[in-house]
Amino acid sequence: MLDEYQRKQRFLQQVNPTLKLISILLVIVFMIMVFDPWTPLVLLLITLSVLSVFGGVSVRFLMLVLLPFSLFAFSFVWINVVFPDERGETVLFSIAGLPVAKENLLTGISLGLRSLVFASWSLLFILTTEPSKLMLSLIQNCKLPPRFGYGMMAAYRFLPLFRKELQQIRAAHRIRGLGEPRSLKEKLRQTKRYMIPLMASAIRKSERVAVAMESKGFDGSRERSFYRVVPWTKFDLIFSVGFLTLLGTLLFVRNHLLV
Amino acid sequence: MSQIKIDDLTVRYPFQNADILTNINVDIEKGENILILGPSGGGKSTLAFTLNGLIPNSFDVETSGRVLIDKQPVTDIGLREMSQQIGILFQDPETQFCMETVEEEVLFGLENLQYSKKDMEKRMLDSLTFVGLQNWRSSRIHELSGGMKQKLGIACILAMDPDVLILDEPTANLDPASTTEMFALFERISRQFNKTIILIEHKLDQVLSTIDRVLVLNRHGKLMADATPRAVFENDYDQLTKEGVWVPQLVQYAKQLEKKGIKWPAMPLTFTEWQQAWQALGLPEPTEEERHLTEEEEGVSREPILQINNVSFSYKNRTVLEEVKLSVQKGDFLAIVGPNGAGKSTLSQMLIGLLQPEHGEIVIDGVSYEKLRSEALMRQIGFVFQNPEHQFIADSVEEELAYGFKVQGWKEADWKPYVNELLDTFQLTEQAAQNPFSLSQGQKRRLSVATMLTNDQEILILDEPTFGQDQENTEALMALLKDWHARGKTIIMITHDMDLVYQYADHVALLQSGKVAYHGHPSIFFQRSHLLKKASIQRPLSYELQPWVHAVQKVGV
Repeated sequence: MLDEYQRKQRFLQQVNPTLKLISILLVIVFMIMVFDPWTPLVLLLITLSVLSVFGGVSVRFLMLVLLPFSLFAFSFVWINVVFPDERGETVLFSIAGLPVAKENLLTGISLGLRSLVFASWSLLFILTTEPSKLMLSLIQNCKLPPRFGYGMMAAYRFLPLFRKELQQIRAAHRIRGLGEPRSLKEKLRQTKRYMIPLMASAIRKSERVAVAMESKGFDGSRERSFYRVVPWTKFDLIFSVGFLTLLGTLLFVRNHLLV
Repeated sequence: MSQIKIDDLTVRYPFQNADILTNINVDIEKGENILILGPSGGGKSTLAFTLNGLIPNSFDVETSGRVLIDKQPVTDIGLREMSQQIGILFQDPETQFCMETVEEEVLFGLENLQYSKKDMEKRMLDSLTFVGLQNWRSSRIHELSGGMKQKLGIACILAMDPDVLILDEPTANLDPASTTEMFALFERISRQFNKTIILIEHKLDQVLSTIDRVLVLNRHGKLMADATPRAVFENDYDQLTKEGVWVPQLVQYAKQLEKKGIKWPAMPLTFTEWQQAWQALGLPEPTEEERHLTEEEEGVSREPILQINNVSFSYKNRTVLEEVKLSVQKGDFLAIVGPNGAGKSTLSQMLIGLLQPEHGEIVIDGVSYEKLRSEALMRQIGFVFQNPEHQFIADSVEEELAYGFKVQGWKEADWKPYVNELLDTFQLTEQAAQNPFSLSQGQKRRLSVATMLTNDQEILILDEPTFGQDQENTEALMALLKDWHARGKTIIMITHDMDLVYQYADHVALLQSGKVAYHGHPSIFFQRSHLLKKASIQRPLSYELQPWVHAVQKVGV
């Protein structure tokens, strides 16, 4: 699923990964300055539309992924309403004797939506960026030493292997009569039992990969050529202009029209 | 002038009190095809890794002596330059790649060598085409089969075009069909390019025809033989077997007949040579009757212990098993064979209750699985996984074996004798206090089988237990299973190794496209040419040679 989205040839997939990373940082900075619930709501809706129109990600899939984040967001609303720092004056209604103030409700919604904005931007990055392209971009555009870039790439390749191995270990342990853990202590012991074979194999695997990489002439230095160059293109320009316009407009509308 | 010169090389790993390689002296000429043999853990890979300086540069070892490539000491050559001189294909297909796709992986090496984009493109396409992966260019590596991964490994090396190729047990983790393809690929490489090939391999019968020279290491890391394959297997045969070095099966049979009086004009190394020598000796070829010799010992009807009744299963939309019917009798040694993806593992996981059939049922000893709790099932069936490490749950070998008893609430005084007996049977007494993870490959394998027998289970199921194991360990394991079988236990083994099927199993079931295509005696199974061809199974050498041995026994020499 992830692969399919990352490999689509849509607009967002062609934007430079470094630029997408920078844009996430800017969104975070921007959101720090905002306390009303409307700005994050508008930004969230725009982000999701952009992701589905220019990234080719299905809305259904987005909603499914955002569902757990929504629960998290709702907890902000709940906490602010039930345990506010300072209870607001405009009491709207009360739940089981607890007065619910408009001010607290709005703060809660604002915080909740803010966390959803972060989640949506993370999704935008993850769903439209191939890991190898990200690595190349970090090496070529951000001067990350190839030693780390390719090392990370090799580690990333192992993730599906580890998942498969964990499944096998689970099955093997079940056959030896180990049931599901009931208490926290049992759970900890089970984790330890899973970790040892996984660690043993991880160490062995990483050693072997390192040797294999060296035998192919990799010495970690910057002296190498690149078949695939991650360039700066017109897509990056369009993305930057669009992104800055969006933030600027939001800021303007918020400061001049909403007050 | 020799291309590679090993000059009085000695290597010792830290915390070991013996050298792994002792005073090795070898000269290798350009274009030679060399096979390195030796007992497991006997320094074969170590020797190969010293050739490109990985040892001592990347490993913490003590060395003396030196290795020269074109008169230059390998320790003075940088990684980059070295990779253009020597390329290595490793044993494990999973751990020699660092990129996501086929194309990126081939390019990785070329980028290290700073080729221009145009050169990279050409080299990548040429090498992928050579190994037959041109249509998989943008596939993800983890989606490839083991055989294809090893082909990709070859393509990566060929693209970088080194003068020397080291192949370190490249087929150890491959099934027979992929192994044959790999060997064909090596033959093409040695014919088309004038490259020096250094091969470490256990499956000898298929490779000997391309080998010019054999180096044999003994248990003490000394070079014990250095000659042509024929000379080595003819003259040093007894010494080789004494050192635990695997010799070709064909040579084993030839030596066996030699003892019965046959005087080979020259030691045969291939089946064709065997047939030619036979004619030259004027011996009668085995008749069709002997070829179709069967050792039927059926007739004694025994009770079925395991019945698989019309079992079906599918993953998502793909049907894996379709109305599978199979009945296993008490005391059977059943081998389940079939191509990859035919449903062997799925079926075995159902037999242990990890998966439930969608339709049909499995009956053990007259009781349906659905009515059994998993503990009750475990008491009757032991299951050995492919990777022994996955099964380990305790901190010592003894604890590992005692676990099954402890779960049932046994006291130490009660389980101790049983555990000691198991330790003894599986030759693990000396390792009783060690951590299971610190054992050798063969010891781990034996322990994983032993842990599955602590309840005196009637049925033992093994999922490719000899996968990735060397000959010595394979033989030790099979001897144990044979012994267990002789005690009247039922054994079900999934395997790709047809020699094992022929030599040990008394029943074979062929799974193909989710159905049982054959179930019966192995020697009848191997007569069915059409069936074998459809399943792309090759007759084992032991089956092919058996009638010749019989012919000699009957006629005498």
